[in-house]
Amino acid sequence: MGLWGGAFLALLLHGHAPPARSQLPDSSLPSVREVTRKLDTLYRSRSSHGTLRMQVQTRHFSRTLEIESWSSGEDLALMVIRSPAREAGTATLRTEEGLWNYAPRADRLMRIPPALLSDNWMGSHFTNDDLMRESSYDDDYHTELDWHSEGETRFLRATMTPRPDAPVVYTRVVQLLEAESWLPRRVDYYDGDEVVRRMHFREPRLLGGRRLPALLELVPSDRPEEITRVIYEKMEFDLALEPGLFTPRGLKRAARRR
Amino acid sequence: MLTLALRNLARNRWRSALTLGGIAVACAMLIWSEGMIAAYLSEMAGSVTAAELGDAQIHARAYTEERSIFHAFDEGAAGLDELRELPGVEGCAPRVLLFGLVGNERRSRVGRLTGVEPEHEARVTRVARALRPGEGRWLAQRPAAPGEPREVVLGCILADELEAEIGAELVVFLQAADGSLGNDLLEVVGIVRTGSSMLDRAAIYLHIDDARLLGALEGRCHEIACALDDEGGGGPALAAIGRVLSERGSKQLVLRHWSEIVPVLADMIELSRRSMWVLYGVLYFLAGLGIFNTQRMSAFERRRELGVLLAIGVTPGRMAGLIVLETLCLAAIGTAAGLALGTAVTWYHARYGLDMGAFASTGDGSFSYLGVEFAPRLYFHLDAGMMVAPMVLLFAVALLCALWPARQSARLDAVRAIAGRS
Repeated sequence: MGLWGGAFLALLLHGHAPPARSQLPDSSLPSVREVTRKLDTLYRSRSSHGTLRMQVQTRHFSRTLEIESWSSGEDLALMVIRSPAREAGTATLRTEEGLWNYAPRADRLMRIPPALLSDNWMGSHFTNDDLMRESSYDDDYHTELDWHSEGETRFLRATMTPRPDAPVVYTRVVQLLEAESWLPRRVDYYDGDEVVRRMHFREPRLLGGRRLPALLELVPSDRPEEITRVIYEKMEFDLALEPGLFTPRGLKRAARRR
Repeated sequence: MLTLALRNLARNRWRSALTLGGIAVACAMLIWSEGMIAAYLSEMAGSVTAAELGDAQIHARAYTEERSIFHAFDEGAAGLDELRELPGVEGCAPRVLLFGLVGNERRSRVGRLTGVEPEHEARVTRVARALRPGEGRWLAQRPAAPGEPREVVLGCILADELEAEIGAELVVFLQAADGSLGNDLLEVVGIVRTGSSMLDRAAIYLHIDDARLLGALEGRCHEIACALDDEGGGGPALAAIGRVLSERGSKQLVLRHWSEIVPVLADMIELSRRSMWVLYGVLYFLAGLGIFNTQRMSAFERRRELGVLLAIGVTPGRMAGLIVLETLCLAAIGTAAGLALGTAVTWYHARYGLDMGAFASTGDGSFSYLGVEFAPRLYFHLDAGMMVAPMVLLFAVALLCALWPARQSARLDAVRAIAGRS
């Protein structure tokens, strides 16, 4: 299910694509595989490049980051902060081997230890794990589809429960997809029977020739006044990236460029 | 009667000397062990406070509930300079506490960056003196110059985990109070073994101004650790600090004694203190047993003589009084000798310390017990109270022990006693 299209976006989205697991569909329901294929073609790309804004609002501060991102295949991704100036050049590199942060002031890379994957990423409500997560929903989750209505709107609901030995911190992930387009609209992450965080997908528009939600909002349930918004400004898909971009050297080059 | 009592004691020198010796040794031992235990307990409390806490700390009220970078306070609001001038306050060390990821391309760890004023920190805690032998130096008095890496001193376990040696360069990543991501280059200038495994595992000391820059905390700090002198257990100095804080109307600030900050450790020390009473009890009991035995034997051996005394008209009351007086004389001389001996030995150990190397589990002779690290030499405490208590108590014990033989003697049947039948 390798979709690393659009770095952050795809990164977040593709993990939520229901796994391609055949199951006898309810007469009115599409099959899980159908939904998956649709999502696959939506987000799949060999490579991507884009810019996005991330707004983080907490009790203590609110700030906006401009981020440039690149991705290639399933495993390679690079994100560089472009503004504010104080943090410009700070970068995160993901490869098959792990996750690194780049400190521009020190001009050094630092490995993020696996123990810190649940820590927040760049001060947002996303975790390092959100960036690092392997595309293993296929192996890790059991998915069921049904129709679900909220108010006037009808959603295709995918309820995903982790398999017993899956390395997943949530007990359940429920995503609501648009009934027609199967674009995700909301994802609820459960711990026990409680929603611990909720992600909204809003403002679908054309990005890099594809219709995608351009606004992501992540709200932790224990601090409802806090929010992280990711706004996609520009995306390109399936473009040729400069070779060696996803190496320390390539990262430094990309980070120093303004 | 006193003359008589003394003459009686003098008559059997061996027996009297033995009892006297017993009392003297018991008294001396009590003084000595009290001196040791007092030193031990205060060393224990000292170890707890010396690594990090200091005797008391000032925090923002919110920080006491949630240890978060955001709950900092203005150093000026606490009147730091004024606090340092207070009598009984030996030092005040402001600190900035940040959690960050420290490491290099190969490995990294979460550490607690502790921004300190190097000179003042050295007055409050022993961290500056806890450098591993041959492992660098304490922080310089000035923050890093622009473009220079910032100096840090690492806890020894953290240093080992990062495989960082003196001169090693590390990167730090942390989220500052304004939400931004601070990152910078650090240079290891020292490695410390603080005696607290928590600190050894996580502590990263750096200059407070460097920490403020990294944490976007201009002029602010998270805590002020205070060292107080021992006068009145630090109580008066603590009260004085409290007054300064309340005069400044700093309602947001909380002053707490270390025992309020780590009640578990305070309880542990209190428990040790109490369990020492069992030891005292045993010592007094043994001393009492010795006195009791000799007095009883002496009364028993002198039955015939006492019978004669009764026969020539000494009343039973005076007879009992005589025995008690004899014991008290013994106790007086014994405790006096014990006092001299005990004080002398205890003073010696207070002055030169007792080598605890026998208990050492580490190379340098220091040893640790219950997670608290002790210096290789224990310097005893000695004060007047320590001398008075064993004296008074031994006197009381002696008196108690004399009562029964005295009563028995007073009840002697003169005829049978003289005849040697009883």
